[in-house]
Amino acid sequence: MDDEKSLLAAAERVFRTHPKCQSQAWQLLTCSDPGEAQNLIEKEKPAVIISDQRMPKMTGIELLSWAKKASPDSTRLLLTGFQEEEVVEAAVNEASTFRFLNKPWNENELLHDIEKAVEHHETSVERKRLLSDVSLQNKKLEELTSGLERIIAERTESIESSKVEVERSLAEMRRLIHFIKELAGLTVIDEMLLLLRKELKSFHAVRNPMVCYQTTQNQLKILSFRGQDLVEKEVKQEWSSSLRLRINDIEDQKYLARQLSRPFAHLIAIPLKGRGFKDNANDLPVVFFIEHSLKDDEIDDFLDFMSQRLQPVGIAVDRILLEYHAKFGSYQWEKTFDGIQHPVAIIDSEYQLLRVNRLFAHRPQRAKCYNMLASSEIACVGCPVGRALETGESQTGQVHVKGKIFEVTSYPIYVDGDRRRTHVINHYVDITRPRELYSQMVQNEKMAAIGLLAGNIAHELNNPLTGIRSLSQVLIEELKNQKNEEVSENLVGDLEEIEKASGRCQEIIKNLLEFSTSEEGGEDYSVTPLNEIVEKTLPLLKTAMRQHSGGLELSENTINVEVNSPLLQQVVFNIVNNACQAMTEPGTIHIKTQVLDDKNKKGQNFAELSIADTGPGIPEDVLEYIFQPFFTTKGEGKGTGLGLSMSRSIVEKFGGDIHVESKVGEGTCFKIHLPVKSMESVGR
Amino acid sequence: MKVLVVDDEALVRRSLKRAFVSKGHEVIEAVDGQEGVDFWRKEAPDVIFLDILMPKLSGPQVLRELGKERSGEVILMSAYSGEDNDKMARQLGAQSFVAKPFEDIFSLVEIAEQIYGKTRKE
Repeated sequence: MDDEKSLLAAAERVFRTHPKCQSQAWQLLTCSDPGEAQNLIEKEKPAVIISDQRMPKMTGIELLSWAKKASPDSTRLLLTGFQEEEVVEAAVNEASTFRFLNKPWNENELLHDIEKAVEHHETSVERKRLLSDVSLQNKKLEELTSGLERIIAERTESIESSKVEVERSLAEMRRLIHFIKELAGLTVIDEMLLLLRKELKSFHAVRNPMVCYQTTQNQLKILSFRGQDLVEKEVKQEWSSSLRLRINDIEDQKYLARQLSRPFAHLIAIPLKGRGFKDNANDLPVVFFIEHSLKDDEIDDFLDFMSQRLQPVGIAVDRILLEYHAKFGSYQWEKTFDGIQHPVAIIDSEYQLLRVNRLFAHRPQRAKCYNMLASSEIACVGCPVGRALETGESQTGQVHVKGKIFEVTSYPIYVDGDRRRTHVINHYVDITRPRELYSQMVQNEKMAAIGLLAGNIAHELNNPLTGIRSLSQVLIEELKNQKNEEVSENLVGDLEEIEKASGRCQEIIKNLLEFSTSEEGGEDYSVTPLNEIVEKTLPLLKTAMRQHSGGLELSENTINVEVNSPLLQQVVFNIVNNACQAMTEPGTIHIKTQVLDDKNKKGQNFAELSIADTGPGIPEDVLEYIFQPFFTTKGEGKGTGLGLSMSRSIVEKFGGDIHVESKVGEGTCFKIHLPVKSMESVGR
Repeated sequence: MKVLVVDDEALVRRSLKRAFVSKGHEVIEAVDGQEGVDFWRKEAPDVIFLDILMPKLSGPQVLRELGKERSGEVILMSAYSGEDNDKMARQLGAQSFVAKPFEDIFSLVEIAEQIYGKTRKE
């Protein structure tokens, strides 16, 4: 700005020499009127304003001061011819002039100053931009900070609220866990219903729960509360409704009203689903009924609450019902097992007891079957267990145990699902009594047959016997009249033997007839010396004793016993005959009679007739059976097994008994004890 | 004394005959009931030993056959001994009963002689 147009042109000329001006980076605007300059400054906001001091309308300081306000970023330069102190002071103070340009100017200096002014302008603009940037960023930062605080506040708030939520759901979980724990301890459905009622207390609009469950195919149980008490009702029918969740179903209301005899308004029926006994294709239904006055929007909450509990409840119900069925099942089996009226035991191949029923033993014990049954350390003779395991088929055998006879049937079973049969069921039937009866029956039959036979035999024998006996009597009589005494004496002796022997035959036949025909076989008691019975019997045994030697040790005193002597003779005969048969090697039969100190109830002493042999002896396990009817060690057809049993019953009839003592390898001694009727001492 | 022995058992007949003959009595033997009836009627014996069980006619049948007109005293014999034999013998009109085998044959001879003596005295 200069009022002198020539100067402006000169300045323009200088200006144009500058490379930045030539590259259009700088532009030069000139004007000679301050008013026009003001417009130009306002409009263009030039980087540098150069103004002359001395102008007609306005001084340069005045213009620059104005420009300072109108375009603060423009660097102001004052062109002046002389530098007066007041002018410089005003230029610096009022117009914030950057530099003073001297008139006339040095071209280089002028260009240099303008460069500096432009530089100053750019710096100040840059600073100003930076300042505004900083302030802008500060502002943004402030905004951010305040946002963060808000977020933090919001977050804090949400954390606070979620903490409550977590606590609430934790409490809910704890309650659920507690409920499940309690469920696990239940053993009956009743307790479950009580627990459920407690659990439902939090819903005020919910009344006591009820449960309807099927126990067997055609039996329903309905459990409900009457006041505080549980009431159980049994219904003989099958569950017919569908197993679906129903809310306020009219059919349910009708059904319960009918069963429980009271009206029901709103009901929720919650069936337990997805249950199942593995061995039972048909689930037995379980349905919970809940009477309520919940509003529609509360029902969802309630159902949520219930659905959380439904699975554990279902599991618990399953468990309870399964336990009930298992318990009931095993109870039934146990009762069945114990109900068998014979001893039954399941044992393994080592005879170890696994299970026994009540008749076998009152309580199961870790023992072997023969320990328990026979109090023995070895398997019973005749036990079929071994055979059953070997053959894999049921086997039957008889064992003699403690005076009883058991028919044992062993059924092999698979216990471990193994192919090998390692266990058997032993079924014991006590056949002692039936066998005794059978033996008696057989004996009676045999006796009847013998009786029938004896009658005929007796007749057939008696006729020839009559001749033998009578003719020998005739001969004896005739010989006695003979002159030749020497001859006749011998003959008479011989004939007398024949006569006696035939007399004995006669007696035996008579006894046989009596023994077989009379039921009380030999009621015909007489007082007989014990020694006489021995003496009478021995001659009949001569054949049997052929190989053996005999020893007699008869009492000196006469011991009288009241017996049927032919029967007692038979007893002696039997025992001696058995002894002779038992001694396969030549041995000794020792017969002894004596009086014992023992007395019976009537105060009678006992006489003992003992018969000892030197045979092989009787094994201990056989010894207890020898008096049993039909027990025989002789081969088939050689003995009836009746001899000793008959002997015992005969001796017992006379008020006595028979004992046997035996040692294997040493011999056997039978001792017949009979009450002494009277004694006669034989003086020496 | 004339004795008739009716028995199918030869040994019985023989022993009785030997015993009675040795004591000086006459003995006639009949091998069965029918022969017994015939000899009884023909010989009119004093004492008759009559077996009960015999072929053809049994002892009681022989007695029934002869009826009351028969001679002599009857002693029944049987190999079946029993308690009621004596009673049965008397019902049949016999003097007595002996069981076979005999305990002592000569006591039988004596019994027969006694019975015969008794009847002769009467």
